[in-house]
Amino acid sequence: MRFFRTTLLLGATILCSCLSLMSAAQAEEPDHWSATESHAPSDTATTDDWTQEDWGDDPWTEESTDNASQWHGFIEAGFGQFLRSDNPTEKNVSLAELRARLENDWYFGETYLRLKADINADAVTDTLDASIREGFFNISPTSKSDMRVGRQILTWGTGDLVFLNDLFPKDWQSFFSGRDMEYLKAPADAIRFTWYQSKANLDLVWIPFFEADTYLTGERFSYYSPMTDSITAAPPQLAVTQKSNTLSNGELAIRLYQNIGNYEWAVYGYQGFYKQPRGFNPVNSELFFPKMNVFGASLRGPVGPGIMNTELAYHQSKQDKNGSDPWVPNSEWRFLIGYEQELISNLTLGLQYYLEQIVDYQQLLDQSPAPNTEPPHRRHTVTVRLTYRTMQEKLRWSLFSFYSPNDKDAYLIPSVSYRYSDGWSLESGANIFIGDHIYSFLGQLQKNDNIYIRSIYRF
Amino acid sequence: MNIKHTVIQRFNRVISRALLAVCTISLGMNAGAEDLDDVDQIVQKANLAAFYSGVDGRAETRMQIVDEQGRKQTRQFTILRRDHRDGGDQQYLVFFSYPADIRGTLFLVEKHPGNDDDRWLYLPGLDLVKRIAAGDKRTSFVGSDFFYEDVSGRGITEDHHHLVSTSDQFYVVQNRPKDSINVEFSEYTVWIDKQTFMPMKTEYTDNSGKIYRRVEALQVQIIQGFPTATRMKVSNLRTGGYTLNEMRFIHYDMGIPADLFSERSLRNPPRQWLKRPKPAN
Repeated sequence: MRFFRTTLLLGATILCSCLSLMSAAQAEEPDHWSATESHAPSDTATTDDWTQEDWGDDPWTEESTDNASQWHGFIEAGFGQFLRSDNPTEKNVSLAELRARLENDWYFGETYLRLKADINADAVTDTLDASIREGFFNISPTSKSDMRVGRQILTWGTGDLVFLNDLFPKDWQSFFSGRDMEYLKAPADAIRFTWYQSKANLDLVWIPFFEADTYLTGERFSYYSPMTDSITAAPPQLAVTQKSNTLSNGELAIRLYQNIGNYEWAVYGYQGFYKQPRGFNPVNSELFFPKMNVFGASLRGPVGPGIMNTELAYHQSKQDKNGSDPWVPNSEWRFLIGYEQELISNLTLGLQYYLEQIVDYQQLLDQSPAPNTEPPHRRHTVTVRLTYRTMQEKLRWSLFSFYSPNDKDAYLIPSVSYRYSDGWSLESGANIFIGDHIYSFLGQLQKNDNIYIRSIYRF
Repeated sequence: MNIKHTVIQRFNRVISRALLAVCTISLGMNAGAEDLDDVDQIVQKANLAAFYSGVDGRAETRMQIVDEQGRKQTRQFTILRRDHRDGGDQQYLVFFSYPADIRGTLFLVEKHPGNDDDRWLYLPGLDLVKRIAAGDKRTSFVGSDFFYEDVSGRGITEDHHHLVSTSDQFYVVQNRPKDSINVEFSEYTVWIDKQTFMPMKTEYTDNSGKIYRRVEALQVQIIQGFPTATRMKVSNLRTGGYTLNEMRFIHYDMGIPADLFSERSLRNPPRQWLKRPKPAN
């Protein structure tokens, strides 16, 4: 039965791809433009080359009129396959789904309501899910402030796929399975208040009930379990003490930011919990989300021909302040410096150096039941992003890689996407994990190597 | 006192605008009678005519991008622009409305002629404000044959200008880059309309002396007194691909505030300014 569904989805993906190829082949949209081939010099060009009337039936016209709301969205088929046969996951497919999105905005004066909803038939988990991705009211209480109430996507910080001060929920399962990049950011039910001032703008985010990352549970991807000292997958299910929906389990995030000349500075604060269950309770043998505070700052601006960014954060482990508890992570310093530049036309290179330094490291080793599997005192990571756009940006090649020389692991994400037409596009890529040790940060994912393909029609 | 002062200022502005109109008309009628021979003055006037009309402006733009095989892509966006001063720094906010994969994306530019621009991109799906390297201004604007420089102008001090000829209709100006390493052309020639100072045609020549790129103003309309290129075409003569650009619903001098060009507008697109205003008088 499951095999059947998977096959069905694979079939759907191929069908969609073929359809998009066909539609591209006959991509003869209504010719609003009667494109002239004439290379007539400007003085002889006449208005006959362009029809005056065609703007009237243009969808844009409707969108621009007051209070008009329009439905948009996409339909997408995605399929991904693990490359290694020894991955302990139950399925050998990493992605098999048909997804539909509908979205709209409704305006009430300056206030608006935004809704983005997904329906996803997922053959990896054998589920049919309907979910609200965004559903919020955007209000401007004063001329110098905005407020967003409801389910929303939240992002700040300067890192490229490296997060120091952005403690908003992330969906790592989506990321590793090759879903669209937007799914890396999971929504949060939150109130965001932004106050614009000349000296510094203030962003205040209150998430009343803790929103964890969508972390690896073994269902879709395997990971290293210290219990068995091996790479494992569900079943058995990861036993995690979930946080109850009480206000004391809320999260508070704050950012002050402004520009000085060409440079953007920001300071950040966060009070909440580790976004993944990194604590272990030996009493009930369950994982839990320990308390955490974060303080940090960032700076971004032009240096030479490119953009430089640097960011610092201190992750304070509230339940293990001196590093003596082996079951709760120690506090950590995080530092990032990055640079992005267009090397030649359409080829962009982004480089980052990222450091995670554990505080009270000796304490950690002294107390640890398995000191040899603990992360290094300083984990150095280098990331490289190469993006090449060609064929009028219809074809995009991209390679993102993480590499840690001292933890001896790496993660490569090559991908290519092609826009057949304004509506259809196709993306394919891979997630490749390399590691000397099965317990290192990226090395534990080494059996999850996968390739994926997605076909999307957007409207 | 203040009100009186403002009224006088406004009155003065109306008078000077009227005088300017009269002068422009008479200039137009006398075209050819008093040709300019100072190439710097011509280039300066052309720069102002093409990129600095009014203190601020708004336009809805549609691009059709056609590749060498005739396959088409569309881009639709609304541009808001504000000048700090004529010929100097400018602010741009570009809101994309079509196609669906870039709908809601915004592009913010602080343009500094002679220096690197500051550019930000907002990706709504990720709520991400991304800073973009100013880098190469002669790189494609959203996949089209237009370069960033075609949209917001090339610094007039970046080239040596030479007035090649003056015809009944055009000043023909040849331009050689002072820094030839960072541009793909060896020179370009501009046909500037003598009446409106609009650059009507620009042809780019490569090192072998071959014309490989052409930018044309195919239609110029007078909007609120400002000549405006409402239809343009950029041709890639090497591939045969080209991009058509059409602007409509253009308004100048709307009073767009400077602080509109900020991160706030990226997250909350300024609907008041993006929506189509009632037709100007």
